[in-house]
Amino acid sequence: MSEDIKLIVNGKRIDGRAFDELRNIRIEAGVLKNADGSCYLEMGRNKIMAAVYGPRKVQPRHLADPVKAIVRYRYNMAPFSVEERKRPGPDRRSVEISKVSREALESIIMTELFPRSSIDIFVEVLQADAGSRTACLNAASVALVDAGIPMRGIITSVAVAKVDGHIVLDPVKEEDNFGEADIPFAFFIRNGKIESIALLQMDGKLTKNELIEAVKLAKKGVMEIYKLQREAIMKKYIVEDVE
Amino acid sequence: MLVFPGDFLGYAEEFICDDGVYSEEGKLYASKAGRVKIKNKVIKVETINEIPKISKGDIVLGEVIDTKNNFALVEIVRKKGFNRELTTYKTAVLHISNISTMYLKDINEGIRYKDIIVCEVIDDDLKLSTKKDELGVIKAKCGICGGELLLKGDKLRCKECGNTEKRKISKNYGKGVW
Repeated sequence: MSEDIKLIVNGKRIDGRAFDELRNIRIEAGVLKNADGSCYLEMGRNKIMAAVYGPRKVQPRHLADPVKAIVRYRYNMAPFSVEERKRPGPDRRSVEISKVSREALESIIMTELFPRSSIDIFVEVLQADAGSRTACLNAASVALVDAGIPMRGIITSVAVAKVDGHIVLDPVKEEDNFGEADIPFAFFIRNGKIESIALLQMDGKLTKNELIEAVKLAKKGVMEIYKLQREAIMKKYIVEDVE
Repeated sequence: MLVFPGDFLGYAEEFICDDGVYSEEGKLYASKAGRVKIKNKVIKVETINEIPKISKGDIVLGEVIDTKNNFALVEIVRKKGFNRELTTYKTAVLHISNISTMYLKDINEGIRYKDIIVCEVIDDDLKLSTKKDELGVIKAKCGICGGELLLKGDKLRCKECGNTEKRKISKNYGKGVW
């Protein structure tokens, strides 16, 4: 950790945001022609493309579950997504992110309606700038809604970090790299209310009170993202009405 | 009314759940995004991007995966009107009496192994029929050399070896539409 970098100056963060302010988010649903559902999401400098296929036949066939659909999630970072070229292909980090993200989404997808089939979610990080797993989850859940897959609610995700002793919402790369802690959250939202936490990871150290504060901050941020996710899907229906 | 997954729609006593609605602890929620339709106390959510389900009366595209003495097994690939894969492998039965309106002495006069056929589902148990004009074989291969079969009158002739074969031919044979 370098001491010479000041991440918080005059109560403002490195990019001029307040502690509880999100980065700019742009969500567009149904961008890919051949996918059943898709979504393009920009969250600050994160650029994410998500595609959903299915429920479809399971390939290879032996993986099929006779009582429910299987969910497969692939988080992948493009070689050009970070400053120094990333070696393409799955690595330890992306395999882990894929697993935890899949488990978060599995909890809301009504897999029992589609026995012997698979729901495949592919998320590509085109440009990364901290909190890409949370941006990916947001994109993936919009893509799932776009694909018309029955879900109990929606997953909305945001990260919280501890920077220079302050708890801040939605960190950027500098805050993530030189901050004291980083906690990605994903919430299960139903009927505009937070029902439960679907994902929680942490690196770094936090006290109990700081964690409680972090959860509060994340809940606030998540509700804003939820509204944007909802708008992105509703836009498709409003366009249809005009036609 | 436009809804989003998880939106509260009512109580379990008020409506009967249909597509796109689920009930939990006596409450009804939407499971898909779309428009709410209520008819005769049945509530459902209609989406743009529907997942295909096969039921009686549907027109489907399939491939013959096996022929027996008096029936053929057809793997259904697509449902008409949907540009989306089916959820699982679905194998249906096409009985010799449902292939054509005319008498067939042998099932191979109507359809053969590996033919691409368009059928109508006549039973929820996935029984098929190809009796109508627009139904039947839309693409077939020569039984001898595997070459492409072209339409010649009411028969099919192989482009490569000149062998002629009989089928229950759809009026859309070889046009690439169904």
